[in-house]
Amino acid sequence: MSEDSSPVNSSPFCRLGRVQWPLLLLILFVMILEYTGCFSPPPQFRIEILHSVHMLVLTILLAVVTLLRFASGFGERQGWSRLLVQFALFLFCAAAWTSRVTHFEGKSIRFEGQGMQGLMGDYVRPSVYGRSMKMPALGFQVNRLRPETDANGTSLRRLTAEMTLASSWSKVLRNITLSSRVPLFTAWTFVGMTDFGYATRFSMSDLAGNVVDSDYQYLKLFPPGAEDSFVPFTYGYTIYLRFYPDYIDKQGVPTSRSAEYSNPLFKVRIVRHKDIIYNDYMKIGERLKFDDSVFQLHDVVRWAEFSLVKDGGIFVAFAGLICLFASGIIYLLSRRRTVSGGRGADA
Amino acid sequence: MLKLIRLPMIKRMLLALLLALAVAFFCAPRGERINRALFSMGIGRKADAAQLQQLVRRYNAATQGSYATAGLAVDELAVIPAFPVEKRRIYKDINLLRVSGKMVVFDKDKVTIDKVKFVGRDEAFVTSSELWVLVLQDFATRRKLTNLKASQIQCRYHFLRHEGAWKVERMEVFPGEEKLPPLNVRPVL
Repeated sequence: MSEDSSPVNSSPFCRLGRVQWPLLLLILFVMILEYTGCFSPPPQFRIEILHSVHMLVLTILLAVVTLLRFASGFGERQGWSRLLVQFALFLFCAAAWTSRVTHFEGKSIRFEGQGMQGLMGDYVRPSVYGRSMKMPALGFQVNRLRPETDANGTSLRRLTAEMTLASSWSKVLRNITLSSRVPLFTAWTFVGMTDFGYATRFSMSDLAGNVVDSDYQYLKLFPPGAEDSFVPFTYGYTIYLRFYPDYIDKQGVPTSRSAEYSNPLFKVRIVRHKDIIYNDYMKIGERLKFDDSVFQLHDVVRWAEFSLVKDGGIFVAFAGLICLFASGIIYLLSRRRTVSGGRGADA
Repeated sequence: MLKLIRLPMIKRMLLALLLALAVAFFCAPRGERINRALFSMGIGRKADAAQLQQLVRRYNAATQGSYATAGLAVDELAVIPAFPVEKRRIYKDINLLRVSGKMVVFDKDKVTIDKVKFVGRDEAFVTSSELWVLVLQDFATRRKLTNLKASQIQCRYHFLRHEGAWKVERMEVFPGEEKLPPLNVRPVL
């Protein structure tokens, strides 16, 4: 008698399983192929893969088969472990649909002392993605950013933000401390910090001292020695910067002792097309004259990138995980009971 | 459906994989599908690499011409294979020089392409070692205002493919003796 036609495997529950698991594999393979960009560029927001029309169709198919399997399993009095697995699969499908309708994510770059009102203008526009576009009902003020680095000051262990938070979950403003290791959950939104750097204000003046161009530039200047560049609005130069907050020369190699502003120093490179006009160190406040212009770097502040994610599907998926976990526990307990019952019969 | 039920498990898994390939293929934009699949297999990269090297030469020739004419030849703008942001940077510089009565002439001495690196099908970096000679001149009389200056540099051209055509998104310049910083700067957290 072949495996497929044996009495145990010919029940509706088992027959539907032979459709369900390949369908689940199909969904997983499609997600992997689209994530890796085999036939089209991977989307900027990976969660878009889950929100696509063909994914919606596939998850609906899977949910229908799962419901049928659950119903047949219930009728055949299959174990709770198996039924919970089916329920978990259905919840995962429901999580995908919920995410499609409720997902919102965006990034906001704030430096010390800057506030975030929760408006669209506070987000970095290309980082915003959402099916609902209902923005999180929260705002905050970044009072202070404290980076904790390793002994060499080259690697960031943790970033801590002291903030004042306004949320729809609280009637009063709260002073909180947000760590980069643990996101904050408030107003149904996860708030985490995903990047860090320094912002410096530059100015370009003419020889008479009139400021022609001046602005803060958010630059990725961490770890010390990392280089970033910008082009001033009025000029065609490209200005490359490296920042050492606590500069020290270690056998000819510039580095930083810590993340504190004990001895701040910039390595500046000013380029006009193929010509390097200046390539040397500059202190904050120091003036550099070149080409009838005066370049100056002023105060340095820390910035952090805050990622806000609001998605109802997370909670539905979490419920599915709990069902899977419970299914595993029930299965293990029933196996132990079966084994100990077998030993008792042998004795 | 009944036949699907009777297939052994391995065959069902293979069928799922084939169906996944078909779904991913037909759901991809029409113009991208085959090109991207070929790129994933490494086919066509040599031709793209050769085209990028040619574009570096064209970019250098066109920008050299723009600086040499102080940007007065309008058709040079269309010839530069770059995005508008990059072209705007070049023209801002040339115009500011002209307003102050000056111009810079760049002469190419040597450009050696070191490496072409593809980040994806539509993104690539070309690094080169270059030697340029430049001089600052008076715009009206073409009189030299400085001595000739040799500029030994390394360049990193960031190319993006837009509507089927490769263009320079950004050109980075480094001193000739320095080690180039890493390509993609990831978040530190």
